[in-house]
Amino acid sequence: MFTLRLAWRYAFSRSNRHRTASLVILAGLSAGMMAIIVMLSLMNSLQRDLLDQLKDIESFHMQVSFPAEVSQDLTVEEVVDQLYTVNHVQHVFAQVNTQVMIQNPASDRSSTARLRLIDTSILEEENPFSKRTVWMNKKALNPGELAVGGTLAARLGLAQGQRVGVTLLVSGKAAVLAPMPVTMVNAGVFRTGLSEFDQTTMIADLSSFLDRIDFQRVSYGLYLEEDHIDQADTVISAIQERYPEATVRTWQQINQAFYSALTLEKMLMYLFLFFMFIILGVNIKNASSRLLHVKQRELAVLRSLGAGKRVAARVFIGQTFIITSIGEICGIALGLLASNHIGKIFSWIHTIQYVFTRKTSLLLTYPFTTYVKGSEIIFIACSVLAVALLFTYAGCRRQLYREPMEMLYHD
Amino acid sequence: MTDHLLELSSVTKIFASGDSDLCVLQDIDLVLDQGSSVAITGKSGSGKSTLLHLAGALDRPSRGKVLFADKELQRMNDRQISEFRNRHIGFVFQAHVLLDDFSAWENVCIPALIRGDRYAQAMQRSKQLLDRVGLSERMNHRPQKLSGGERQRVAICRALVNEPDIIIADEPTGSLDEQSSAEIEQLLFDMVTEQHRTLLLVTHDIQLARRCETVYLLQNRSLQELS
Repeated sequence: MFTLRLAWRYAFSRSNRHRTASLVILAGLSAGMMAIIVMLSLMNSLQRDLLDQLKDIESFHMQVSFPAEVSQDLTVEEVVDQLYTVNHVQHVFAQVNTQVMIQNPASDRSSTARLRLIDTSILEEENPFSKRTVWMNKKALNPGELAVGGTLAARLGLAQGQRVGVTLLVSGKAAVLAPMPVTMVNAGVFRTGLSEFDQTTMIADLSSFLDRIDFQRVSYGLYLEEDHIDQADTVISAIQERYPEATVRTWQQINQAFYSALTLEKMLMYLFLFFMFIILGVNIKNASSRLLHVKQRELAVLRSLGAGKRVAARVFIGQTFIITSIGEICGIALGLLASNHIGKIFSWIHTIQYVFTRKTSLLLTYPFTTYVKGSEIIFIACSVLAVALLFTYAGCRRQLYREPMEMLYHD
Repeated sequence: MTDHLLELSSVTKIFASGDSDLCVLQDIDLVLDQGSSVAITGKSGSGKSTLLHLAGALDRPSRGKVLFADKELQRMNDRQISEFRNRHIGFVFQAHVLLDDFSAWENVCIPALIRGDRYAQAMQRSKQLLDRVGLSERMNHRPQKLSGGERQRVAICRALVNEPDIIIADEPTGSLDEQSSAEIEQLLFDMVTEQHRTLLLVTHDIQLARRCETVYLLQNRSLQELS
């Protein structure tokens, strides 16, 4: 208690000439913590949104496929029904993704695209895909109709109700693959928020193409209950028990390259944080050494009054503890506040930028959201505190362990 | 087994000074008994302060022994030696070295708080002492707001707060004017007499030295008793 009281005085006493230094260190820590929290929460949010879009729109939570020899003995309805009986599975959609050529005769434009043939109930019933899809002039898809991604539709100058020519590649008699032109009607345009999907994808009803497409190309997209999306071992086991020949791939495996890139990005960010901590630690070490150097005479007096080496060390480490803790608490509070009002902050920055430059910034008008992870904040706060205490001790150790009179002689 | 409170036996202190060594004290023998008062005089740079630091366990001798109640100080670990300084020694430095961030009464409290006394208890004791030396009106002032004599009185109160066996004073009046010096001298000897403490002081002032029971002259690295 005495050492903490002494440490508090050394940090913030009104008569202390180093009070300003303590306050500057505290302010620096607060600003650093705030910046780290805001940066992490922004990054977490962007990553989370991207991954959610990826698994909800592009790849489902899980996909099941069968080898050719097995799929001949199965029907789509039977497999879908069986997969629905697996625990934690919420939705099952049979689908085929195939590359096609699309032509808009009205605008005379054409493009390659991906046609996702799927049970069109995915557009109507409540599921992760339909939740994330915004429709312009939505209309239920009938056989012979398709829906086009917003960016692709714009590129083709395609309006609702227009006819388009779609060329599929199917198994040929003489050749392995043969083109099969069909005429379809654009029944609606959708936007998903996953720009890659909107640029390349069209959706049509699978059932009307089943007679023209190899059944072995059908895979089954599964949406799982929230708690089992990232821990799907039990679901995989249950499916493989039912269909030992089936290949089951999670959304992480399907998007492995992209997921690995995000994971790497996160690791690099932690590496960056680690170096920030080291820089912070070195600064704290130097500040502590300097502070201790100035306080050597007082430490010698304390030692002469009967304070042991440990007491003297505790005073200085206590001082760092107090300053770092208060700095962290302020930084966390500011970081949470800034994260919760990130939109307003960007808006202010945008306004200020506009006042001075008369230019608008697309980046600053982006509707950023933040996602604060409590565990991350606790980890960072503990790491910063540990680094601060460790480096303070490292900075003080040699000087603290000298005899009192050595300190006074030096003074 | 001896009855001496503090004993310096064949104490030598050598300081490393560049490539050569500087011997400040050589084979010094000094004995302090309970209730005695000893003064050490000598020229500046003769090693008086170094001798006090060794006696007060603020420094370690290069050779020889410092014994307190027959216990050798050099054999004590940091905790034991700190406890010895805290409970048995009251040190008054020449330059009163008070802690700037603390008020007068808080400065006096510090040794008691280090000992582990309750805050209220230490505060009461320090206020009594400050009252005794006529500083009850100034106890909330910080050292910067006190005069040299007042600071030295605070330093004496701080040395006495744990009721130590030995008061070690290093030229306690060295930086004070005549009137303040007289007050401090009186205060020191009153405390020693009233509380039956042992006093070891270093001074240039021969008048002050003569008030002690024994006076030593430190010359050529050794002690000579003056009659």
